[in-house]
Amino acid sequence: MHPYDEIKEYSKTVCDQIRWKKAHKIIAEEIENHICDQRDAYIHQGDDEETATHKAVLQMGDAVSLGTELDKIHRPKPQWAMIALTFMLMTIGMLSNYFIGSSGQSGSGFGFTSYIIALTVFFACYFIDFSVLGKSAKFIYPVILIISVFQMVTGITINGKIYFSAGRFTVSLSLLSLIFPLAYSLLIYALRHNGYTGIALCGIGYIPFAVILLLVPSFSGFVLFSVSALLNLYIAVAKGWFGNDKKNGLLLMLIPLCGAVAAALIYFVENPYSLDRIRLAINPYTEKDGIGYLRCLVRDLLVNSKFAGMGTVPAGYGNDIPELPLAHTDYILTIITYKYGWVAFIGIIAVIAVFSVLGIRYVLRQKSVLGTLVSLSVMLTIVLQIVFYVVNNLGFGIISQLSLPLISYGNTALIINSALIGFMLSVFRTGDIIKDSKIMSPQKFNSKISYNNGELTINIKSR
Amino acid sequence: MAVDKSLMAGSTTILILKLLDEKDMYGYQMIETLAQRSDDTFNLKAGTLYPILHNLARNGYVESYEKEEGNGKVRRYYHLTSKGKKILDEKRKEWNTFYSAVNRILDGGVNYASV
Repeated sequence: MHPYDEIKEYSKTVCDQIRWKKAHKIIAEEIENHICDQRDAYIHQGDDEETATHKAVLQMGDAVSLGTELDKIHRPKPQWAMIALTFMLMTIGMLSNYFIGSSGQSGSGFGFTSYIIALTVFFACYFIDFSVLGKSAKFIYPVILIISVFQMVTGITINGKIYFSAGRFTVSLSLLSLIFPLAYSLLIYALRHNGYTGIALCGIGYIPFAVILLLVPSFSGFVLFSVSALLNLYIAVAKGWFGNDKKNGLLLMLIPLCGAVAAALIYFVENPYSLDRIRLAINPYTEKDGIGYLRCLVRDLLVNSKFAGMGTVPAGYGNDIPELPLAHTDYILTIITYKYGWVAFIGIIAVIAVFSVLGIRYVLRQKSVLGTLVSLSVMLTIVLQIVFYVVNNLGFGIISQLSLPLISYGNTALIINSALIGFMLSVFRTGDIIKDSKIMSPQKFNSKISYNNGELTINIKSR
Repeated sequence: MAVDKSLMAGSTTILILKLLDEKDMYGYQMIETLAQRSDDTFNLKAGTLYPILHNLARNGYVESYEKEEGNGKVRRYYHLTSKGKKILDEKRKEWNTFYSAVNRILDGGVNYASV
């Protein structure tokens, strides 16, 4: 047997005892490196390679007992609580859509099939595993960008907003904002070993997605994407994942940050309605019969909601309960509160809050670069959607709602959110073992621009 | 002198934590360092070390990362976390109590029966 085969055979025997296959690679590498170090030490003492390898393998101890011990330690960690909470949110969504139909009447918006598809997508992403995203990280951003630009060009415009339309299926391109954060986090992952060039490219990569969302236009989508993208970039830079000096990296990050703030300000100035939104969020009653109507109606319905059971008809709306437009998509929480009381609102918010808090705790525990970036981008996408939605449903919205994840009506948002949560829970399940945190030695960087001790070096020679 | 394995078993974790408290190390380096510092008294097998290390990592006492050495070899280093530092302090106190109690008895110590 070739000496190296003896090493391979040892690590294979160890791995054969470990049932969780994802852990094999990382363990095999560590064991093989260890044997090689020991072998080199014996060679240094005068042994030939074959004897040295044999002695090094013997020195390791029994492969089966080592593998058995490691099998007890390395197990996937399914987060049952998070899975249960996801099911609860889906059940709440299904029941809400059943009882609050498209017209606000019971029984007309039952989306059982949609939820079966959503559940399938959730499990598919959960078991496919997020590491697949890491493997194709460098392709995901450009592919999503090309598809988005194509949709922007070919989409139809309804009421000034761009929609994707195919037959009877029409969906707002504002929902791209749910996919962009994850795609952007994968861009960061793909560029993480490129030093300052990597940070600069990530800054440039932020621009097209931000511009697309401002052109849709979806200001809430822009805010959601910007917060998620810049926070992910900040963490990557602050942790030195680009192989950068942290302080200089953070200074470089100020460019996309200032760009985002400037874009938001320009959007506000260019769209006077955005300023109206702030005014109306404070007091919508000044324009009750105009653009403040919906906010007034939301507040009036909530004021007349009971703790439990159906609310009373608000004054000034005649004898019939006023109809809340787009109740099942945009105001499902308001209408549930009005129809079933604050107790229903509190119940739903409690489930959402536990989901969010637990999710954030798991995100903070992630160690791997890919796990952190993926789970953080998904969690922010979910939490920001929740915040925008709840604030709007209480009648205080400044930026409009996108969707209430897994609950509000909208098949595309439901399926995208299910996929995102599926990937996030797969991070929590297997994130510990993902191998990516390699610290490269400086000469390995592909960076053409480097900065060291006040000296800026631009390497124009290709390697 | 070779030491009984059962004596070794109880103290391996604290020795590993102590080594990592000084600097980040990889598995082989830990075994070598322990052997050198104890004049080969602590001849730890990799089969014993890695389950302990991986368990410490699972409990958040240590973190691991890969680092490429100058010769191109990629090694998995272990780093003691702040949670790990706390457990080291606790284990050190526990060890001192145990060690002094064993010594008191072995050396004769105070004869409580005569007090």
